[in-house]
Amino acid sequence: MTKKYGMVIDLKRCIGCHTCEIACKLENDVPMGMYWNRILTEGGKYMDAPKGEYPNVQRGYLPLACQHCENAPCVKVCPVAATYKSEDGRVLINYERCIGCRYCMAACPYNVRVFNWQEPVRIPDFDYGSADTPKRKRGIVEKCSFCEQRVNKGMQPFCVEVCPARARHFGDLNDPSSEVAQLVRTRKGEQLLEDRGTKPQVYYVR
Amino acid sequence: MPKVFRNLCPRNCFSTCSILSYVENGKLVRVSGDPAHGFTRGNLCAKGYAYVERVYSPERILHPLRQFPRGSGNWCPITWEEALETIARKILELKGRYHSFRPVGFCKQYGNMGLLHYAANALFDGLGSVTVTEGNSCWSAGLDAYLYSMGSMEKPDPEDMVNSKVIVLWGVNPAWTAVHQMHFIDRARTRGAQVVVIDPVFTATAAQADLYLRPKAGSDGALALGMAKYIVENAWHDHEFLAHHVEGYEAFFAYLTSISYDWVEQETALPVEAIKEVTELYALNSPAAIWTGLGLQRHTNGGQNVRTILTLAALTGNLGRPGAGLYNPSMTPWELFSFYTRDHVISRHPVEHRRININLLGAELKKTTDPPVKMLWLAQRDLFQDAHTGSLRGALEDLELIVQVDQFLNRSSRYADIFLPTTTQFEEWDVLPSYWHHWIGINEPAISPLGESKSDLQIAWDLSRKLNELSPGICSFPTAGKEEEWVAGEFNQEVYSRLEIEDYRELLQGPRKLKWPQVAWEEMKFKTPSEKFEISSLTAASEGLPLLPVYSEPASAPAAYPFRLMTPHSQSGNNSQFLNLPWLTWGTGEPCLRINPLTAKRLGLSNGARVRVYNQQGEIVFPVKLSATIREDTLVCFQGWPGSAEHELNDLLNGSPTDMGSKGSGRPSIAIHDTFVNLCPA
Repeated sequence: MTKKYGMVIDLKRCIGCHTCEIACKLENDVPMGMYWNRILTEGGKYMDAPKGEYPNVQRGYLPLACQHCENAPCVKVCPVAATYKSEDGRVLINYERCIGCRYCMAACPYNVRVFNWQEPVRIPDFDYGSADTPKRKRGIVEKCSFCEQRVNKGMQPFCVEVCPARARHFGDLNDPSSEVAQLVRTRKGEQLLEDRGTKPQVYYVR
Repeated sequence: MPKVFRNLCPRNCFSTCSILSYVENGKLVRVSGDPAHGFTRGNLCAKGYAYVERVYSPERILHPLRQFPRGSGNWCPITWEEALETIARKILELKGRYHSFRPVGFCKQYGNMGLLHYAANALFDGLGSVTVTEGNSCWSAGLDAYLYSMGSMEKPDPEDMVNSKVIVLWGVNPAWTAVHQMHFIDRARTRGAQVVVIDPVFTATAAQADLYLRPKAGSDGALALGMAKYIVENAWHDHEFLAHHVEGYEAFFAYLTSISYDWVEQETALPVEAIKEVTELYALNSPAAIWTGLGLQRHTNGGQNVRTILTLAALTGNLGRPGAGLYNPSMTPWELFSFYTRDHVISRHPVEHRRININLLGAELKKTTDPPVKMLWLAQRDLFQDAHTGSLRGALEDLELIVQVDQFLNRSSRYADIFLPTTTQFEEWDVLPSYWHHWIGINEPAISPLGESKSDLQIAWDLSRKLNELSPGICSFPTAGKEEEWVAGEFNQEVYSRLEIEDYRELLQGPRKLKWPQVAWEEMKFKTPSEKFEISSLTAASEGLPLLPVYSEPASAPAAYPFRLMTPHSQSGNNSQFLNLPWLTWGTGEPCLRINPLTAKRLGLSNGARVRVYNQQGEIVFPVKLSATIREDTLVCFQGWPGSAEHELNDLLNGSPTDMGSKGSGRPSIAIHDTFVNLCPA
């Protein structure tokens, strides 16, 4: 059977430390003002907002990046097939092909795609991260690729490697013995906005 | 292919990470954790991954600068030669005017904890007696509590926490401030351990806890007494342990009969059921560990509160065994090193400096006369983290020369005349142990110094050379050298044998763990006069403190200032560092004051409303954010509010001292969390 790469994020373990967010920015050469991977707070729009009232206060975090949907709306609307579903189940972008129409951004219900409105500004002012991270120019859309430059070499996405709480797991959802498949099964993995029919390959367990 | 180097994060942090630095065409393009490091296990934190931004930040200062006039922001580049000459001539002129070097002041704390960064200390030792700041704003009250109870600050290997059945995180938020420890806490939980968090703020760590208690800030001693009483009443204490290893428990038991649970409830604002539940967990699930946080001891009764908490381990015999113990930072592994740099001069020529209290620098500078301090050298310091910053401004304005050595301008720079750019850890040799874990790595230069920046050691050599040029023989600190040789000097046979290596260069292949006891106090030979754990401490009594860990009333809010203002660590920074980096602070918004929603409702404030927060010392205007994480009588503003020429967050701190601190650090600390304010709509 072909591979279907997916991720499981354990919200019980996530401590909202933002390590994956910053490590992603570094690894993927993400310019200023953009993040491919953000840590949302369940209690409100500002960082680190709790929910509930004492003594029933909670802190919930939602690490959010591309959901690598099986039925990806972004792939369907892309007029030039720049966004595509790879054979192993990842939603990837051919940055050379992207014409910057941003249909995909309108179609994505997760708001995880970012657009280079201007010449990318970087601090430092050179390309950082892994050398083989695909380069992106002005006027195109970019997003999480499950660290294609790493996964293609058999490594884990960087966010998985750096998570100090071991809240992230990556692997082949089609392999029933994989850690991710087992977690989805045993811990009842949930998908975001399931009713949209996008069938995300990122699962959350609580 | 990038070249990979090994670096160490020198920040004031529990983790002291080993960093793998990837360099391409002479540029640091990527960092990652070092899998060879057994404590950090290949991970950094968010701040660590932002180092690439920090090194190349456009705000980083890469050339010596001079500000004229002071406070104008008119910083002009000058040459190193000019800068050093100005400084050296001022030092010599002061010496001529006052026949003493004491007008020269030196202030360093934990901006960079590397052993080679003690070069500036040694440089000033080389002049003779100057004025140095003494004391510590961080951990001194809690440290003294450990010293009175056990004689020295020894703690278990933090990796041993996986063996605990109960972990009490008392006033500590590792999810934000010691993120790598969360792995060991998680592993203990996987093995069935229960985690208790006791904190006046519902932190990210508290959110992970099995049991969370929110006592009134400063009432921790009352809670610990209630727990001790319940332990003794139920005969859950360890008779054997007490009889052999504990001094003064009978008197303490007698004291416990004098307190009531009603009183504990009233003091702590915790229901007695919660107090009993946490006690049962701790006392009946051995081995159990307690980690006493640093915020906990920043109260006027902080030392005594910590001392009371420590007795819980003695009562239940939770000492000297795997999984048990008391956790706090400890410098014992540091003491193995040679301090070749720090003691370079004083190992041969001891110097008696004039010492002033770092925690109240403004007031101390003003009252120091005969001779007055006229020049100040700031080594990676932001003075506006101290208390009573109002008095600091005037004191700084009175100084004739302020030299700042750092990578970025900070709030103190308004008063500085000369700024000397120093290297980051990626551009220099260094070594530093951890105050938490037992791993030792090495820091090698990965890239060349950016711009004209120089290491602290190089700056010290250069200034000594300039001083000796102008006045031969005036400074006994070396005038040149090789950094790597000074790193080598920090090692000795003891360190080598504990690392099982023969040469420090072997650490370039990966950090190694010191052969160091996993468990503290296994021999049960405490370093107190009685060689027992001293619940009753004659040493404390002889130093004017209570003989027993009796309750010492916390500071309470005066009628005019009914709210307690707490200023805990922010998530994106390490004290004042990192908060200038957009990678880390993007989206965090304007610094704000967190307020309980019920308090906000009572005062008619909604999210984003601007309030004036004030007390006798000063005032600040803030937007508020409603947050149910804090009590109704408490306000929280995380550290690192950028401040302005007129107002600083720490203006509101009155500088009340903690009850302990002089024993280990020379001075009491500041009761930072006993700051009381009022607020009104702005």
